[in-house]
Amino acid sequence: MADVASVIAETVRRERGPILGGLLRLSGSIDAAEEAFQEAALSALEAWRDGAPENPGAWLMTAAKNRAKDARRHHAIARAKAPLLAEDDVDEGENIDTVTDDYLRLIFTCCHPALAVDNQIALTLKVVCGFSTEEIARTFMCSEATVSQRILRAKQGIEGVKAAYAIPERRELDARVLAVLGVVYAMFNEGHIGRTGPLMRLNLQAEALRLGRLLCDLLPREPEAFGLFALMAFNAARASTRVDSDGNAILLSAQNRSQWDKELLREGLMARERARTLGGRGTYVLQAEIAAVHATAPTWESTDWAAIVTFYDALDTVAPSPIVKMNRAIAISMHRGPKAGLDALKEVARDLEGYHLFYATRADLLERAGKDPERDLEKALELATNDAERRLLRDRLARIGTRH
Amino acid sequence: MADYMLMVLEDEPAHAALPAKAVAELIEKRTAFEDELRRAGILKDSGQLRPSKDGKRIGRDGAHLDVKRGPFAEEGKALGAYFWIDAPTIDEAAKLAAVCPTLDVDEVDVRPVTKGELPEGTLDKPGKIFACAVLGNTATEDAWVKVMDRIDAETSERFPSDSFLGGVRLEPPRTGRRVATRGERRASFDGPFLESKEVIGGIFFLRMASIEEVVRWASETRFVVHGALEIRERWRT
Repeated sequence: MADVASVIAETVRRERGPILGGLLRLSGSIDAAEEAFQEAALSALEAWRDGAPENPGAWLMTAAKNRAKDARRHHAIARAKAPLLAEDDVDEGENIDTVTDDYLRLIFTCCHPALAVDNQIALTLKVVCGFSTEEIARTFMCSEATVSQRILRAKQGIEGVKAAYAIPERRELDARVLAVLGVVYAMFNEGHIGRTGPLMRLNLQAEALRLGRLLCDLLPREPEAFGLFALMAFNAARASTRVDSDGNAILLSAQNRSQWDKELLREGLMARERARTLGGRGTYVLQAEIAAVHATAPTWESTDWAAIVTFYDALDTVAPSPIVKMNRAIAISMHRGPKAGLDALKEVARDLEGYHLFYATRADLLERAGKDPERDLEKALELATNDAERRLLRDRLARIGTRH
Repeated sequence: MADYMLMVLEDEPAHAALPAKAVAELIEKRTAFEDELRRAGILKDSGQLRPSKDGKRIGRDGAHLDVKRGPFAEEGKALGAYFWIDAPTIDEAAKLAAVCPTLDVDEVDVRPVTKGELPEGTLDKPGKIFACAVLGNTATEDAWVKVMDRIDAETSERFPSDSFLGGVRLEPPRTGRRVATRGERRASFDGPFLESKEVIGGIFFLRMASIEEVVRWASETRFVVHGALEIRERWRT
């Protein structure tokens, strides 16, 4: 017989999301759901002493539901507050669609658009991923008190929204799905490029990938879920080559491509294939297509820049933005030369006048066109906040200085 | 017309070593191959599987249940993709196997299908899809067929009806072909190919939330008394 403690640990880890989602319907609050779940897990330690039940997940679900019902009854009697608002009957079956619906309900709730992004991420890490406040604080490099505040605010925010726990109606589903994908992508980027401090925090990135995979399983007909996962997989595959041993950033053009994670690249390519099958042309799918061109190019020089320009054109139609136009200008400079790139960049000079990467980009194009990049580099350094990026800019300035 | 399974046996280390560009090309070629079969009206189902290192194999070691993690290197090549097709003869099926996109180091087994139940709409519903290959480990073909009969009788009832998606049962290996690259050209060999004792007797599909869940449901069945069950997650493509 397998070690009961490890069966419990595995069951708790795996069933946490779906069960909490089901309890949300019953309890009417995240706190009450978490409490019922914890009590059920504790009772399993006692009840499974002589061996785990045949279906530990179902056992845990039933135990947690009973705890939640007891708590609700107790609460109602104590406050003499009837009728109860939460649903009375929760489907007892093992129907997988119910389970996945419950899981989705939990994620939709934590990523509710009424909450600020930082609060959404904190709540998702706590409730969906099961991290402790201390772990989240370490990840965000802030105090536990700050994290607790964020989670509290997020929970209060949800309590204030009518029908916050409901799975959205079909017509608002798309918008809500995009909000959920946005939170996962924000989590990934927070792990990928921190605003301050070290360039990468891999745990957060791994967690975002895990959630991305989960969303593909829960929303198998949503091309943007696969697009987002592919995009994250391609970027994560390059993670270990993005900084050198001193923590300095290495640009894509100089990264050692043989060290990119082939397994993640394959996973990304399969996800892109699914997105294509589903006929997706949304922002994540298009960004994934661009990342795929980079991921499959043997070298920076042999990259299919024409394809990248085409995808940026499409992206700028679907979701026009100065950043997209800036990246499109870089692709144009590679495809048709730095002068063409500088022309394309002019369009966004005003929109991006406070953005360090705009100046870093223009400096690069100026240098390639044989012009002086110094003023742009200095401006970029003035605006950059990430340590690794600042070092890179200083190095480039020093290099120009010695040449003059 | 009859049903055949083309099962691509991949040299996984060779696949893992491919540059990303070659991986992307292989994926695209397989999609094109599928489209071609579909347009010809002869594709019943097809799928690609995640690497065997993410898979599990349940067997029995004496009285103990033995759950191994992949890769199952002693078996040589791992099942990487399959195409369930309709063809007039096994020769025609073997011709398709010869143009099926693979690496030069891969092989394709062509096996007649005894009976099958199509897994419909699997990729569009939530959950993970697992391909479960029933491996028979017996000394003789007769014994192998008996084991498969018993497993067959129990399989569909063993799993929750929402999870069990159907599958195929295959004729004994003697009736199959193996298509492999030898030098410049693809050659076709008659079965049996019993260099590994564990021969696939069938594949069925389950939709579940995790591989652990599949292992738990499958642990009690006869698959593991007279052979093994290899559980592999299917990619969504």
